[in-house]
Amino acid sequence: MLSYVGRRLALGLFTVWAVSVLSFLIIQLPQGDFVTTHMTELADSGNSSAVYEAERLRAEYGLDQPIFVQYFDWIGGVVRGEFGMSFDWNRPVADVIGDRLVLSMVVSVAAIIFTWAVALPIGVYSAVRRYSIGDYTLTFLGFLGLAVPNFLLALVLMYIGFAVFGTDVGGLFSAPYENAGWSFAKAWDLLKHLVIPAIVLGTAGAAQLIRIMRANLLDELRKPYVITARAKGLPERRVVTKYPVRVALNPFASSIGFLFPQMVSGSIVVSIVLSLPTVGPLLLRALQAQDMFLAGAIVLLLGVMTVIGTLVSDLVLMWLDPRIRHAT
Amino acid sequence: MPRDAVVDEERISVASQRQLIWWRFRKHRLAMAGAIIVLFFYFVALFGDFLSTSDPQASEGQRSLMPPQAVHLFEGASLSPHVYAVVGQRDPDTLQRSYAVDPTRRIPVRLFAHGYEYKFLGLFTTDIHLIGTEGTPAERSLFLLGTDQQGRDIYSRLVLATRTSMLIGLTGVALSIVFGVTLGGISGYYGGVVDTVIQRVIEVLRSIPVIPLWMGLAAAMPKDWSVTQVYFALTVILSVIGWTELGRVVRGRMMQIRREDFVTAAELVGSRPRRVIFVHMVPLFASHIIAATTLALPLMIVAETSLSFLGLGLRPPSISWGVMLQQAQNVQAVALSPWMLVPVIPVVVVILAFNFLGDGLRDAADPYDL
Amino acid sequence: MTGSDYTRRRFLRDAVLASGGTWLLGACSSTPVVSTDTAAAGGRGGAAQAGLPAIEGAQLVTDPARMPKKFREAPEFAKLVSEGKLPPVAERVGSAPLVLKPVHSAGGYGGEIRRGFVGQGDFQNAVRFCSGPDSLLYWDFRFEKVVPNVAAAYELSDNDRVLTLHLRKGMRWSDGSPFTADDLLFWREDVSLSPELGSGSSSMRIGGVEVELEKVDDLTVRYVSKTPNPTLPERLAGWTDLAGMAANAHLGGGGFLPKHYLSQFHPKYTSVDAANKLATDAGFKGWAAHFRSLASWHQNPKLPTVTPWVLTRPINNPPWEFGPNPYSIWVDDKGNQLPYIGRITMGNVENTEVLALRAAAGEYDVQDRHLVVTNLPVLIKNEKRGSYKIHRAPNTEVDCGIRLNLAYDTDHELGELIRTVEFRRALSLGIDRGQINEAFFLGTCTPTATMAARGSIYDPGPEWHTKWATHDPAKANKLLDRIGLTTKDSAGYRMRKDGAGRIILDYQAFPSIADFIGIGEMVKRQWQRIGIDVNVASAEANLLTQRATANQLMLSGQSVGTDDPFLKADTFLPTVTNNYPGMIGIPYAKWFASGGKQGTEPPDSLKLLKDAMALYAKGLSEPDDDERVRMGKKLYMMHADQVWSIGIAGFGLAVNGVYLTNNRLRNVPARVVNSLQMKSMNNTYPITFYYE
Repeated sequence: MLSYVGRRLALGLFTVWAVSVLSFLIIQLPQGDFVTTHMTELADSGNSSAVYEAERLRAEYGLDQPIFVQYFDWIGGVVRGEFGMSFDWNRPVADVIGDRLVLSMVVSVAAIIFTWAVALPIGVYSAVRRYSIGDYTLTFLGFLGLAVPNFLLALVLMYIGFAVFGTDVGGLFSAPYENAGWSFAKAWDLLKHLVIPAIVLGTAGAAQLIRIMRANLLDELRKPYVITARAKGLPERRVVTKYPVRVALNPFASSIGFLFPQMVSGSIVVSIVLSLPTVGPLLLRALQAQDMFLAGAIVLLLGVMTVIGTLVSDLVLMWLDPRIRHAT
Repeated sequence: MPRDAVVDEERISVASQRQLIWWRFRKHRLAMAGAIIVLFFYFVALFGDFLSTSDPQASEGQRSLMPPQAVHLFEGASLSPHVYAVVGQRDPDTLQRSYAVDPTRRIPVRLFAHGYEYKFLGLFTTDIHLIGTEGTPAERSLFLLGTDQQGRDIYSRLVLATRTSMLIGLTGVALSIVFGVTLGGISGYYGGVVDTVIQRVIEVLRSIPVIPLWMGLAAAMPKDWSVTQVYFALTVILSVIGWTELGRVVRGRMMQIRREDFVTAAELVGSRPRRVIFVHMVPLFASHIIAATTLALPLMIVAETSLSFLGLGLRPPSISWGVMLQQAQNVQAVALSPWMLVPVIPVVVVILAFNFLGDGLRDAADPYDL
Repeated sequence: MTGSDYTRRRFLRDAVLASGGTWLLGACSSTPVVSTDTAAAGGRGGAAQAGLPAIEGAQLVTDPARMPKKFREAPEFAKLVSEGKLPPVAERVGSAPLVLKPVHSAGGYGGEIRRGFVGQGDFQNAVRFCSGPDSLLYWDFRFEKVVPNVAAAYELSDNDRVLTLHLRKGMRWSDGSPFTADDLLFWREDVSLSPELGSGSSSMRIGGVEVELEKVDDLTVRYVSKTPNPTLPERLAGWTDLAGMAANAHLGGGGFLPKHYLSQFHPKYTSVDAANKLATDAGFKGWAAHFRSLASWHQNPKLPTVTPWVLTRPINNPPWEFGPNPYSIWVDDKGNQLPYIGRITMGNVENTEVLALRAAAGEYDVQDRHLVVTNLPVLIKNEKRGSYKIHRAPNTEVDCGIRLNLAYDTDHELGELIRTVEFRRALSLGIDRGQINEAFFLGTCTPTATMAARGSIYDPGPEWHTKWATHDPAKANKLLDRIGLTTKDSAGYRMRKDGAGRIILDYQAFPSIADFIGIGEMVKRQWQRIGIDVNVASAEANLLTQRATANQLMLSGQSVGTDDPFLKADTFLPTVTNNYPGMIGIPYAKWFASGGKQGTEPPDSLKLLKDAMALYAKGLSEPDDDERVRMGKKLYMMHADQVWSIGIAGFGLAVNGVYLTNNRLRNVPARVVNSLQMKSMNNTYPITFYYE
């Protein structure tokens, strides 16, 4: 089994390398580079009288080198832990991402908590009270969450928050707390701002979860051991929760690995709409401005997390299901 | 035993697989509803021009952002559908346009009326529409769902957007299936090195975030392609990457049934691997494939709306639900002209319908469901 | 059938009739103001617009008799003075401070201003609000004449060949070091002319020859040109690469730099190795990149400046914050050191809809950036709830038009068509400008040809305002028939003469200050009536720059024209060679700039363009102001007559035209000139704002 893990790690490394090459290429595909973006922005804000030597800037940024030279420079630095400088932000990439990574995680965790807290009870209820009005209504609502495009939902909720409740518009912090040190008040402020993002990001996942939970639980509830337990006089609640629910949860355990990278990619649009200071909008702007090192670092990061996620999932599955363990 | 039950049992025992699936499917009411709705939307996609009332590109600044019109069905006691003319003016203080109904000008609404010219299914030119007005052209008088910022009829645009949105995902999904089944099947059947290589490829493809990939590819397309062509090409490319999920599942199932007797039997008889895979093994989980298809289509639609929002998907002057929602994605629309958000309704309905349909198909086709 | 539109003109006519001739205004402020500005010559800003209040602003006081003798300062500085950490205020403002008479009243200290900005590319946000401005010279609030600013006085002599600037005695940088002529020379010799750092300032060149900068003494410099250079003061005052550190220092421009601080990073004053080492220590590849980053007003809090507010927290670590400059040279006429409001905080927003909503919620005290016209109704609706006032500042330029690439040649036949004046005139006549104004600008713009602002000194007269810019499809069709485009296909579109199908023009745009794609779609429909087909496509701004430089663009929707051709001509005449605004003819611009050695010469069909360029070059050197204005008018007349760009609607609110201020703020002018040259909204003089 150790050899299996070792092999998977080695292959994982290969995958990460492949991802890095592909990411770098993809980012370079659009015509132009950061210098073009910079000059466009200057012209757009009325600075066309600044006659720039684009070539000089390019040489400085190293953008005039052939592409594989640029790649090796970059990946060499990454391996050493130097992610380079973001042209757009004029700060080290690691600083720029670091600020936002923590917040991305917080938002993802909040969305996941919302998803599970909403979906599990509804899924269980739907399975137990199958075909009841409650079942149909809740399932329908769950589906609605899946079907409505989340950026629209975000805008509408944000507007309702503004117009009806007078809540802060978007963002994760109110102005006074943005730079303050961490305190109970700041945490509370953050929580208040997390409500809309959690709802918007969580509803789609919740719908999926409800359906799967319901289906799995239904399968389990038909099994002989449940009938036995009931016949033996166990209260209904224990019958349901003691084993069936836990078994039905198996598939989620194995998908935990993917949650974070999926969240980050899936939340780009919503983060832009709600103006959340997370990794998503950072990536989009970096791609549009062709801020090579920043975009490359983020894409690489997401790729690495996915690979780790796959590995974790496979390991968890292997641990849970003896058949797979023995087959390797 | 009651006579009906005997007859039923007989019928069931001699019915073909397809008939069995159909009978089981029929019982699942939500799935039937889903199927009907999906068919309805494809009907609308097909007959778009006939069902719309105005030329979707007919703009007029003077009727910018009009709210939906009320259609009155009765005149006194007789059935006589009509609308009233609308007069607009802009308040110089708030800069909003307000519209007031002018009860003196009555415009009758007719079925099978004359409207703008179009090519029916690309075959012949006609100008008959399902609904239209008499006297004044529909472009200037009939606005069932209001107008957008340029004064274009939202109802007509919605009808024509249906065509684009419903059709755009089909090719991509078809390709995904081809790739997924073929490569997943090969991977699961042969195992070993082939399997490892394909699995690694899958992993690399899955690890690349979609949005950067899309942006890079979109920017690399030839300049003279129209937006729809670019989007089509991108859908194709994305399906080449999107087959991974199906591929993994197919591979998993293949590995499960690899050692079954009937497979060994087919091999011993001398069937070539291609035949064994596609004729004997794949049909076993055909239900799953079908279900995956019907569930992938709505994902394509959602992807189209999200990417259009970012400006990466379809863009004006193309019309699709995503484009219309992108134009409604602003404070002005949400606060003052909420009728611009109406494309959300068909999006939601279609996605729900596809989901129910897919569920029903999977339940009906799965031979192991009790 | 939709009824007649109740246009703004009709409303005002009725209002005038109803109120016996007194102008009432739109929802701009709560107190009605009677406009007395009827005779305004309007400078370059144009005449007072009907229905809006008169232009007002803080005024520069130069009369020595009215200079304040005693000074006061913000409490926080007073405290530091009492602790011995700062010299007293009279010393800090120097012997010749910049005295401003606030527009309404003197005020008190305290409070902060909250604003929003959108991403790293939005560094102009602060430049156009709280940089002072810190240019050596500036415009008066009516945009009529150039007045002293950071420099104390100026004079032109020797037939406008020599510009002498007198600096302020006792003036200091924000860290207390003296501001002298050495700082201007350092900029010119060691930065502007340096091959690694210079921006190739076109404003310091006339007739192809560099302008010399000479030091007379510590407080006096001279700009010496070989040929008369009458517009140099205007260049020092307006939106050019000479105009102040805040806007241009990181680009190698600005006009002056803190020598005492930056020289330690410059190889000439240390050594190349030492400079490079400092750079690599800070994470930069070379000393030039490091230097540029250090000279950035929005990124380096340690940079000494002369702006009234100093950076305390850089833009790349939001929120972006400014604090008061203890050595600010600005004082009011009572002797209070300005600014009254010491702190400015700008929050980062990822998209402009959130910005608009936050503005509507009253989270900003002054916001002018990124509020688009289409947001106006929502903003006006929430005025009461957000406790703010909405102001409208019509622009001095044409907000919306179609830029034409006269040098287009990728498709030769289409290129020749574009170079045919009747074709351009027909295209212009085929556009229904009223429609576009209604749909996209809520009726707040004025349909126009590419023209100077109404009533500006360059206005050639009412008959030119809509020259070739009315909606006349019949005439357009006649013109197109006349040039031989008579064959039409079954759909009514005109065919090409070479038989290769329909004439299809190519229009590309990106949505910036307005929905230019939508505008393109509307124009496409309108041109259907004159038989011209056009392909409307959207492209990223970056891509458009690329394509413009490669001479591949044909038509593009954006702002067009200018409010002063001698100060900024990039979309007006082929003068710029390397970016998207210059798309009117980049190969021609290269030809003109290199004296015929590079680029392409305009063909005979564009002979008048050559004449216009000659007139432009002559006007740059014309010492007689009236003659130069006459030449400017002629340029506008030629441009409109030849339709070198198609003006659609302008003088509206699309660019910085909508701004809001907190109800508690005082000294907010009722209306200001909205012009790039005035670096609006600096001309609202936020240094004089105070909270009541």
